[in-house]
Amino acid sequence: MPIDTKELDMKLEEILKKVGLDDIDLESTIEDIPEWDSFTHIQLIDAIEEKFKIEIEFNDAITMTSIPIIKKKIMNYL
Amino acid sequence: MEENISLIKHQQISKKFKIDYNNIRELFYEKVKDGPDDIFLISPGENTIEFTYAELKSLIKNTYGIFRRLELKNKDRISLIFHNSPEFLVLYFSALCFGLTIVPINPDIAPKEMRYIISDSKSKVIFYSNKLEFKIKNIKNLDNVKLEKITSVNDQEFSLKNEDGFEENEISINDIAVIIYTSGTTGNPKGVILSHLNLLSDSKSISEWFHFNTKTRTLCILPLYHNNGQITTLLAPLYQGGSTVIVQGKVSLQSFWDLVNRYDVTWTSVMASILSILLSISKERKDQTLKAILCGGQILTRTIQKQFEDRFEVPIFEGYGLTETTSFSCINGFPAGKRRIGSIGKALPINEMSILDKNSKNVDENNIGEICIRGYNVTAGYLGLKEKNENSFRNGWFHSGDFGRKDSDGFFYFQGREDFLIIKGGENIYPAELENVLYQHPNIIECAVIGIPHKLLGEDVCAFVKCKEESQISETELKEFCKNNISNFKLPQKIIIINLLNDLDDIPKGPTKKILYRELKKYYMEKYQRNSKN
Repeated sequence: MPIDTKELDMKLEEILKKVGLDDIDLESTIEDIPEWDSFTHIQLIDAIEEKFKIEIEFNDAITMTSIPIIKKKIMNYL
Repeated sequence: MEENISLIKHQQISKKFKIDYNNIRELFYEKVKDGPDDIFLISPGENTIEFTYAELKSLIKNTYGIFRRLELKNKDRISLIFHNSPEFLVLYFSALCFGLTIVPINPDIAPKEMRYIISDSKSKVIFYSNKLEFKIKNIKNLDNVKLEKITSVNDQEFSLKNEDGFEENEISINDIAVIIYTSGTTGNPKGVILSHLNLLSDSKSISEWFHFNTKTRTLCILPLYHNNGQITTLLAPLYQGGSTVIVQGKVSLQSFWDLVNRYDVTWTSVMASILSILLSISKERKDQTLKAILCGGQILTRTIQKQFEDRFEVPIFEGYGLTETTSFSCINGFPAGKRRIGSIGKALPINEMSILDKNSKNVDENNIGEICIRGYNVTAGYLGLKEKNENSFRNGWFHSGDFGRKDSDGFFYFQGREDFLIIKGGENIYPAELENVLYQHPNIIECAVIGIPHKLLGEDVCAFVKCKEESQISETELKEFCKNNISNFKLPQKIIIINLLNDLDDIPKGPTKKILYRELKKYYMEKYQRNSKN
C-alpha cells in the first residue's frame, strides 16, 4: 500500500522511540550512534517489519544503516 | 623457517612448531600462486564486493602507490579507523605486504582516546573511512600526522597500476606487524606488539586445530580492529587458502543465519553474548554448511551452550586467549566428540600453558592459580611500558592476570579475571560461579556479577540481571532461586533487575560484546553508593 512521506516519518519516529533511538538526528547513520548497536539493529528491523507489515530481505537489512536509507528501503517494499 | 626465528624467553617452548613463512606477504603470495581465481573475500551489501586471491594481490600492488605518495617507508606505522569493510581489509593486507606496522583503532571510541593511541604509537598516517569524518575532525592536536580519507576500494586511486618491478621491502619474521591497544586496568590503553611470527603461528595453529582447507569459508562478524576477528576469521582461513565473508558487526546478527546460508559459511568465531542474542530472536538456521563455532572472550555458560546447540544443532568450541597471545592460546577439542564441556580446552601446539601461584610455582591439578602462557604467539611486550612488561613477562612466562585450573588430562578451566575476583570476608568468589547459576533461571536473558563494597566483609556480591520482557519476577524470588543452587556465602546481597531501571537498558558491553564489568561497577558506585551515603 503506498504511503506518503509524512506518514512514513511519523511511523518511523514511533519505531525509533520504541527501540531507544528517539534522540537521533534523522540524517544519522549507524556509525554516528554508539547506541545503535547490533541488538538495537535487530529490534529496529523487527519493529519496521511489524509496523509496515513487510518482510525485509537480508541484503536490505544489512544495508539499512542510516535513516535516509531505511526510508528509501521501506518505500521500495510498500 | 625455524632456524631464522629469534625467540625471546617467554616465546620459547619445548616442542618445535613449524612456521612455513617469514611474513604474511610470503603466505599471501603463495596462496595467490596456489589458487589465483579462488574467492578470498566476500563483502555483502548494496553492491556486494568479491575479490579473488589474484584480484586482492593486484589491489595491494596498487595501494603501494598510495603509500608511496604519502612517503611511507618500511616499518612506518599507520592507524586504520574503519568498521569491518573491504577498505579496511585492502589496507590491512597492503600494509602488511609493504612492511608497515598497522595500528587498528576502534571507530567507536572517543576522539580523545583515538588521539592518545595515534600519538603513543607514533603513527605517521591515519587512514579513515569517509563515514567517520565527523569523528576524525574532532581529534585535536595531530601535529605531523597525515590524514587520508578513504571512500571506497572502487575509487580511482586503488586502480592505478603500479610497476611490477617495484622491489618489495624486506620483512623479517620478528618485525612488528600490528599494534593492538587494549584497555588498561587504570588509565590509558596499552599497545600490544604483535609480530609477523605471532600472526603466522596463531593463525596456522587455529586453522589446523579446526582442519581448515581451501573449502573453509568463515564469517567475520567480530570487529577487525581487534585480534579475534583478524586472526580467526581472516588470517586462519588464509593460511589454508580458504575464504571469508566480512560484515559490519552492528548489522550482522540480524542477518546471521541468512549470511551463513547465502554464502555457505562453514565456520565462525563469536563472543558468548552473540549466542545469547541469536537465541533471543526468532530466526532459525536454514543452512547445512556451518560445522563449528569458536567462542571466547567471556564466560560461556553451560545453559547457553546447551540451548544453542539443541536449537541450532551446531557445536560450540570454547577457547581462551588474550590480545597478548595474538588470539587463542587454548581451544576445546575438535571435533565435537573430543570436547570437555565447561572447559576452555587444551593448549594449542604453539604455546605452553601453566597454572602458577603467586611465587610462580606450579599449583596442583584442579587447584586455582594464575593462567600463564609462553610460546610463539605471545607478544614481545607492551609498547613503551617497561614496568608493566617487567611485571607481566617474568620467569619465562606471560602472566595473564586471569585465574583458572587444569585437570589431570590437561584441560583448562577459566575462573575469572583477577580484577573481577570478589573477596568476601576472605573468601574468593568468581563472578562466573553465580552467573552460571543465574543463567539457569528460565526468565533470565543475561546477567553479570560484580563485587560491591561492604563495611565488614570488604566486599559483597551484586548481580545485574536482564529478564525476558514478559517476566514479572522479583528480586526476592531470584534470591530464593539462588539459595537452592549455590553456597550461602556466594549468595548475592543485591540483585538488580535491569528491566526495572530507567537509566540502564542493558548490561554494558564493549565492541566485541565483552561485558564491561568496570562500567557496571562504576554505575553501581555512582547510583547506589552515593545514595547509601545520603
